[in-house]
Amino acid sequence: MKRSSLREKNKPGSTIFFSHKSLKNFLDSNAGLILSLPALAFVIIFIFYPLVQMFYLSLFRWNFVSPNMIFVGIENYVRMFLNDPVYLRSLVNVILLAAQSSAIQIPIGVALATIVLRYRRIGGLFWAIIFLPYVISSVAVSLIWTWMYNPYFGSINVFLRTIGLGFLARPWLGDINTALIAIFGTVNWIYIGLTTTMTIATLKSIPPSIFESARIDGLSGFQEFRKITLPLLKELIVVLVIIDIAGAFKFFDLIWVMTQGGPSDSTHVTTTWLYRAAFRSSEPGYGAAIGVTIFIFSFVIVQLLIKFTRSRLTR
Amino acid sequence: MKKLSERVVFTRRVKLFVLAVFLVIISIIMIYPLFWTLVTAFKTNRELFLDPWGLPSNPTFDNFFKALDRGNMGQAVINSLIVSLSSVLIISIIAPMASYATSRIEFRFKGAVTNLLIAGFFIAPHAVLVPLLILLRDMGLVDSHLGLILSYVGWHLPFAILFMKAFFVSIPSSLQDSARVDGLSNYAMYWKIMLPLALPTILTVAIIMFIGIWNDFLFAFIFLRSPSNFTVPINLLNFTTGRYGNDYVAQSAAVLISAIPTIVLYIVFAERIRRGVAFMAFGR
Repeated sequence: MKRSSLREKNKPGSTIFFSHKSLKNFLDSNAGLILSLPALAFVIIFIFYPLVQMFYLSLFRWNFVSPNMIFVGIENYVRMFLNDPVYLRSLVNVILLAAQSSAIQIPIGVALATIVLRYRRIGGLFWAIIFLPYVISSVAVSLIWTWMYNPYFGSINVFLRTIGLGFLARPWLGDINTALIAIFGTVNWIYIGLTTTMTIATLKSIPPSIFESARIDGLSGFQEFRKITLPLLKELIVVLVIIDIAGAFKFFDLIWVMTQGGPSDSTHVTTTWLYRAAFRSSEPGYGAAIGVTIFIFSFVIVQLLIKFTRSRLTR
Repeated sequence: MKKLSERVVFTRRVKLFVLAVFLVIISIIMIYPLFWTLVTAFKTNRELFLDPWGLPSNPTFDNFFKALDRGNMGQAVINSLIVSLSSVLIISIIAPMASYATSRIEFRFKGAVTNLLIAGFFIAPHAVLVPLLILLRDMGLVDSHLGLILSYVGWHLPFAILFMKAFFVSIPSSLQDSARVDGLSNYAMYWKIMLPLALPTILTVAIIMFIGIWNDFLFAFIFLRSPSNFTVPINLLNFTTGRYGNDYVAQSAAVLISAIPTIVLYIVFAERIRRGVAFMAFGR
């Protein structure tokens, strides 16, 4: 700053360019804010403005089109927790979804990751295969699995009949006892590759010399896993559980395409119930109130996540 | 002595065998549904119901043409390309700017700006569907590609910025210092030094964003109304619930069409994609 003003004084005719220069100076000294501005505008308009609006809307009864919105205070929230069994059921389903994702995907994912890293050559191909479902759209995956579960030509029933267990065949997604389990099966099919990939990424950050010396010391594969890998994976496992919980609150596509929350509203999660309430029953106020609870539930989880990963960073 | 080593070799072989069986079973479970869909797309509906595991007796591409034409998948692919590429282009321009600014430049409110930019990564878009639809309605952008593109940019920026920050932070500050001595402004530094260095990172983000937006169902489902505007996933659902609801073989072809672009990208950029996605889970 000082240097440039000195130069201006010494330069003849610099007054003409003074405003130009000071503008340039202004732009450069505010470069941080100016460069952030376009992104900031998008984020404020499309994320934070709707977020604030959501809290406001949740206090009203409305139908999207009517000019008069009726202020009802916390009525929507009272109804949700005291008078809406499907909403409560959807919360239970979200918890079940998160719990089964953690219980099934994490152990299998960790096992697969150690195998991929130990047997590099075949492991690479295997890794490529198990991650594949993750890049296919959830609608396509849901359709494929709807066909797998189809009562007539679905491969699962065909398989059961072929091996003489035909009495177990059923319309998997239409049967209230199996619909949720069938959906969970598909969820695990999609995300097992992701869990494996995240585990591999964590394990790769461990210097390979540790594994080499373990092998020289004659540790078997399982010993190596228990003595070296597992302790290092503890943090990862906590993170994965948190991700599974947060992910369960973001779950929508699969359930909407496969069952639409049926049969008898038994497979709803909070997001599909929000959609039904807001857009099918035209109750945006109630939908916004469900949105508030999704935001709060998943935000608490995310705070845990941030706190945890930060302590990991600064350790 | 000999016996012992024989036993070691034997148990090792058994272990490897068990491991191989385990891997083969998992591979079959992962591949089978995709393979079944591939085969079914070349069958007729009659063949599908008579013998679900049979091979097509007379394989043709008829189902694919039907999906593209009467199933509107052709139009949907074009729409998805427009929406995905436009969104990715905008993100690729403004995300590195913001990411560079919040990583390498000191300015007032930097902390608050950074938090605002990345907080969205932790918020479920599902929660705000109602106010977001109302916002688009007020802007006159319901059932338009522009509304969809702007929403995608807004909701994908936080991850893009977060991902690139990890890169910009890792650039040695000596580079920045020497550039400053040479009298480069912040903008010149960004344009001449930082941006060229960041290109590989931007490519990674662009690929992941493209796959995410190409596959997105939620926003398209809420914001689009007319089939001529539909993107691939919502058109796929529309195809399976509409007049062709029982035409499973044509639907199989439609599913394959929808998945081809992302599978090709995955085959070409597998390493980049897996690295980026692993980061997504740990985004901080």
